Parts: sequence; C-alpha cells; structure tokens
Amino acid sequence: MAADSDLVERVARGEKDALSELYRRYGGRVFRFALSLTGRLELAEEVVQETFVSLWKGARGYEGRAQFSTWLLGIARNQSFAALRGEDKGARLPSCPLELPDPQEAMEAEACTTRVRRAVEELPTQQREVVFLAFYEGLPYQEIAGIIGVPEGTVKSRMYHAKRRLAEVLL
Amino acid sequence: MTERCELFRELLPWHAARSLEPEEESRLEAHLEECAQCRAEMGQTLQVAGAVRGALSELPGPGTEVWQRISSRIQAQPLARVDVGTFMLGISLWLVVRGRQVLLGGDLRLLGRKYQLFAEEA
Repeated sequence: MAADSDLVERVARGEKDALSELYRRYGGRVFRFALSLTGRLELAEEVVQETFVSLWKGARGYEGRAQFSTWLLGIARNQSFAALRGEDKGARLPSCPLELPDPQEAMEAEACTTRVRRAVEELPTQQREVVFLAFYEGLPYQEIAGIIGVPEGTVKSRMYHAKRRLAEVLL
Repeated sequence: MTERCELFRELLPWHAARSLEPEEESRLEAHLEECAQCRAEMGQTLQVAGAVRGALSELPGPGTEVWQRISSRIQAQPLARVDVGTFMLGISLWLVVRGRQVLLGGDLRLLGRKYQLFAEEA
C-alpha cells in the first residue's frame, strides 16, 4: 500500500488517482470531523469538497513535517470555520442514522446515542474539537495542538473542562 | 488532591484513548496504582470516552456524490513527460494542466524510490 506522503507527491504532480486514494482513506474522517464542528450535513459535505480541492491545489505545501492526517485535518478545520462563517442553514445532524433490528434495543440505543451527541454538541466548539480528535480520532494531545495551533497545555485544559462537563451530564 | 494529581489528571483522557507516549503512560500508571482518587477519576474518564466514541462512531459518512463533485473540479491533463535513465537511477520532467494552472515538475529516481525535485507553475 502506498504511503500517504507518496500519494501527496503524486497529487502535486496532478495525478487524480492519488487524490482518489487519499479521499478513500480520509474522506470519512474529514467528513465526521467537519460534522462534529459544524453540526450540519450539507456544510460538512461542502467542507469535504473544499478540503480535497485545497489538497489538490496545495499538495506542494505539504512538507512532511507533520503526519499527513494532521495536516489534512488542519485544512478541514479551517474550511469548517470558513463554512460556518458563510452559512447558517442546512440539515441538522440526524439523531441516529443506524437502524437496529430490535425495536426496543433500537430505541434505547438511540436515546443513549442522542443524549451523548447532544452533550457533545453543547460543548463550546473549542472543547468539542478536542473531544472529537482525542476520543474519536485517538490523536495524542501533541498532534491535536498541531492541528488547532495552540499550546499543548491549552489542549489539555480544554479537554479537562470538556470531560468534566460531559461527566456531569452523562454519568 | 495534590499538585501531582492535577498534572496526571490532565493526561487521563489520553490514557483512556490509548494515545499517550509509553514513558508518560508508565508514569501515569504508576501514579494510578498508588492514588485511589485518581483511579476513580480514571474510571469516570473511561466511561465518558467510551460513550463519546460510541456515539460518534455512528456518524454517517459523506454522500457518494461528494467525490463526483470534487472530481469534476480537479480535472488535470498531462501535457508531456520525459524520462531519462532507469527505475533505479533516473530523472523525469513533466508538464500538466490543472484547472487554470500549468505545472512544470521534475523527479529524481534513486534505488527504486522517487524524490520530487520541484513542481512550479510554468
């Protein structure tokens, strides 16, 4: 399997297949990150589109100092905030997109999922993105600091407050 | 709670997400063995992390038309390519049109690996 950095080099040369492969690897992650930041499906899809078009145009700007995923999520973050500044409409995130076989089980799972998602959505954006990147993406705080562009201590502090708030609401 | 506890508690979410570096992880685990309060906090953190991860993992992916939209915006046309040398040692020069840009670039092939020398707007 080709390394991400090799694919980015190929994208810089204008090879569409390489961008397609990077989209296959990271499109879903970019979309879910954008969705967690914007809370709107249409905006999240717009962010995915703009992020990969930016990658296509700016692949030469990737210097390989950070992991590719860090760099890409940084672009997605900027695009998400740009999209939020420019839009105030679109379908809200559905409360539960999965269908479970047992209706009772489905109702309980949906109630739980909805409650957790709502708690996350109600966090300030600065805390929400740290929660997403740490708990969903599983990124270390050093890498999150790189994506957001703040000191590591700030990342830890935002998470500390977010976790305390989530524990109050959920436990 | 001691000052030491406060420092370790900031790391608990990353311990729950298993993304701490090994050395930091060892120090935290040693502290958790001797501090019941921080162990309790760790339990709470694991519950929160699990609930959030579970809820977020059910988020949908992008629609299939998203890639089609991207694809239609990035059509790139190769104009010319010159390869000199072999797969183990050689140089390539290429020219592509991407949107309104024309890019000229060069690669060095060395021992089977490719290194981009430059890629500039022509």
